Amino acid sequence: MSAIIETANLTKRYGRHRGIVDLTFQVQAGESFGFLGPNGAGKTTTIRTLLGFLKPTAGSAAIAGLDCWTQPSEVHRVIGYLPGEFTFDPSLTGAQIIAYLGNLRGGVDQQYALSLVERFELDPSRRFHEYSRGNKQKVGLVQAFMHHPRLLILDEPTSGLDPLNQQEFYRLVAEVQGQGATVFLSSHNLAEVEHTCQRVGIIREGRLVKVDAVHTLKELQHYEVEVTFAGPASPDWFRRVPGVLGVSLSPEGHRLLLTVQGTLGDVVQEAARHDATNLTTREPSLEEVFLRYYAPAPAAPAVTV
Amino acid sequence: MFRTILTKSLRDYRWAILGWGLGLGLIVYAQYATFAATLGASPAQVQKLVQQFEFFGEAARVDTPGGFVTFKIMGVLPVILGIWTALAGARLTRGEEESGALDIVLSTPRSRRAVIRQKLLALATAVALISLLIAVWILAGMARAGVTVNAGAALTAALSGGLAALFFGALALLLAQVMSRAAAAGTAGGLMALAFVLEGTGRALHNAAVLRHLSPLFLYDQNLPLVPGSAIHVAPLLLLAALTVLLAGAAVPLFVRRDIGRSALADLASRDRRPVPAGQIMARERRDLWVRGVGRQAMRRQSGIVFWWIVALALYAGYFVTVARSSEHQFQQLLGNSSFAKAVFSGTNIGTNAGFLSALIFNYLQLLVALFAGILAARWSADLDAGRLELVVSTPAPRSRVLLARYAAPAAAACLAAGAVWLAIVLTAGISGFPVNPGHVAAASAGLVPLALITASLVVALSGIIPRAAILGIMAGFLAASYLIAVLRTLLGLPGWVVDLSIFHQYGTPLLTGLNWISVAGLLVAAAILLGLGAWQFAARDLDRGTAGS
Repeated sequence: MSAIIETANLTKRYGRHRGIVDLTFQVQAGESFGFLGPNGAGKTTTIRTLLGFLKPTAGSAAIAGLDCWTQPSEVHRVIGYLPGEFTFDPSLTGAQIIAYLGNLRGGVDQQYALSLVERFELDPSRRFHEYSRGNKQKVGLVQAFMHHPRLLILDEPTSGLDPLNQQEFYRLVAEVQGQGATVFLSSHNLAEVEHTCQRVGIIREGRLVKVDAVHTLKELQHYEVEVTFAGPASPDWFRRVPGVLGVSLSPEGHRLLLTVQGTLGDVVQEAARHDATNLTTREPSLEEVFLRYYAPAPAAPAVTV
Repeated sequence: MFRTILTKSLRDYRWAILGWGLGLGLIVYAQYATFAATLGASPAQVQKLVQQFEFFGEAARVDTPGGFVTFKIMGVLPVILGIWTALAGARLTRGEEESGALDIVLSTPRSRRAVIRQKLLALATAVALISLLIAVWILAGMARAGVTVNAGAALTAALSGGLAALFFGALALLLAQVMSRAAAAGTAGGLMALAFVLEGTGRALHNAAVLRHLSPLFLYDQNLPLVPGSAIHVAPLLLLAALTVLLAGAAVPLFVRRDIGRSALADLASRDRRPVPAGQIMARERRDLWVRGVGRQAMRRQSGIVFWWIVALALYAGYFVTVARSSEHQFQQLLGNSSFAKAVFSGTNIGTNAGFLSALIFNYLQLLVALFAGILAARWSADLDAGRLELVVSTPAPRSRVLLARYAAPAAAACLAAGAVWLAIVLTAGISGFPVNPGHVAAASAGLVPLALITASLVVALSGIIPRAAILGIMAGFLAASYLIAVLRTLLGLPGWVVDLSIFHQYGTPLLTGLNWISVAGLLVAAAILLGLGAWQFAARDLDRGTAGS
């Protein structure tokens, strides 16, 4: 596989305000890449820089080997784009918007466009200002997919969609991926990322703090371990055990709550040494894994992948 | 300023208050300042001359500064300010409604009645503040002209003008309860133009005086506070105020009871519409020629406003050919080579048919066509501000091509307007037997196009850098300054290089002398440079997400 998206130290500042800082990552052709981060982290700035809407302050971004800032028209031939929030001439109907953008873009498969309209149950006769948020999003999705782009860049694609249409969207992404398209999507919805993405990048405060496969991220997760003892317990027993990140004593003094990273072997041995009567582990949700990255704790080092 | 809807709305109006108040005030002041220079002609001749132009304003004691100013500007002042009040009235509720912002405002514990009342109060306050600024300029003008500074007269003149303009704002507000913002503004503007024509015609043609009673501007014209010795008639002003309150008051219950985000007319139009399969709709729109490119789409979008502007410009031209025909001999006898007439009409000898038409029609059309193109081009700025170009620019069309295609819309509209004016003049002249040279009329009409292009280019060059409201203010200032320099150059004795900067001076009098190709080339080059700047800065800078991303 070759990289279809490639950024190198991509930086965008708005005057003195941070946008994104030193983003270096690649997205391989044919893969589905999720871009996660809290509000204001820099997801949309990254996407709009990839689209050539923003001029990088430093570094570079390329799509299909084309520079995003200096060759935007060529880049746009490759992609289908759905903005996070978009507005359009309010007097145009959905059908007119789709026809108009289709004419500007060229190469639209009209039958396919119609099938998308029908799949999302979009009423194309209504004017843009009459559409609900979800229906506006459907117009955006139809125009993004209708020309069979090699690369789909989707900013919060299921925002405003009802669960049925979200499922339809996941099926659509699976279909286009099956046909070889690459999907780059930003999202807050972790289930969506698990459904649709093979790899995830996490951005916080403008910096990329993690890029990895979804399953690897889950492997890196921490465990919450609760150990119950017959008599009074002491947190000091576990403080020096490898992998234990934190330990606290329950109010009644018989249970210890441990945060552990990695394997649990050493913890189990130590618990047995102190006659533990019970040991339970809880696997944190993927959401908690992400929240750990999102948290405005001491900045994690930027990563290069 | 964010404590109440009233103060927030007033904050939104702050640039308009300053721009319109200072701009209109300056124009009034300029009339006072130039009055002394026009007194060279005998008062009797002046009075006779202006009576022929009563269409524009009341001709009473025009041999005095107050009478002259009343005739020259106070008659049209409510209509000029009415352009803003009609736009603001249409936007009062429907603007935020169409952008979706009103839902949030109405979700706060404020009743709809309170919301519209506060917004109305803000509009009325803004008009009052504009009027006060104009009154200050009138006082300055009185002092400059050496007449008694009469604060009461200045305030009455400015506030009654503001009230007449507010009437059209209230009308637009009422219309906006049943139609879209653009349709309401357009309809209110059309009715205002009709009111002006009825009042002017009734005033100028005594056998048609009854027409004046159909126009609300008749109530405004009952008072001429700047004319020395003129009595103040309170009743017409009270009636005008009552009518304004009535229109605004009628809008309140409609706004309170109707669905937010829907228009009654649109509902009516779609009531009997049969559901059509999506495939048919998609196929039909694919065949639509108007969605096949950025330029065509822009033309389609502005077709309504373009149509009405062109109709109005053509009617204006045709009407004055008829007026010219009916009073041709009187004018030639009266004026000859009158220095006063030359001064008033920018040095044009109006003692000939062509000179008369040039002064009466093209003297104003040049400003109107430039304004028309500037307003159309400002849509580009509005789209940039709102972030409506994000999807269009995400297509393979290069940014520069998108901009040029959009620029083609006002350019084409200006060409259409020039063609319509030519046709209206030639046809009306032919029908009424008024001899004109079609070639010269064509030159004068075609000469309007570079003025439109340079104004549109100025707007495009500033778009995306500063907000649309500020661009409109700069454009209005540029046109007003350019026009005043051209019109008053003889009276003000301005240096040649200053006069040369005026685009309207560069336009000249092509109906008399043909097109000055050097000036035309200069204007076109300037327009191309400004357009190039606009294209460069649009291609080179970050594309703002606009209000879509806010």
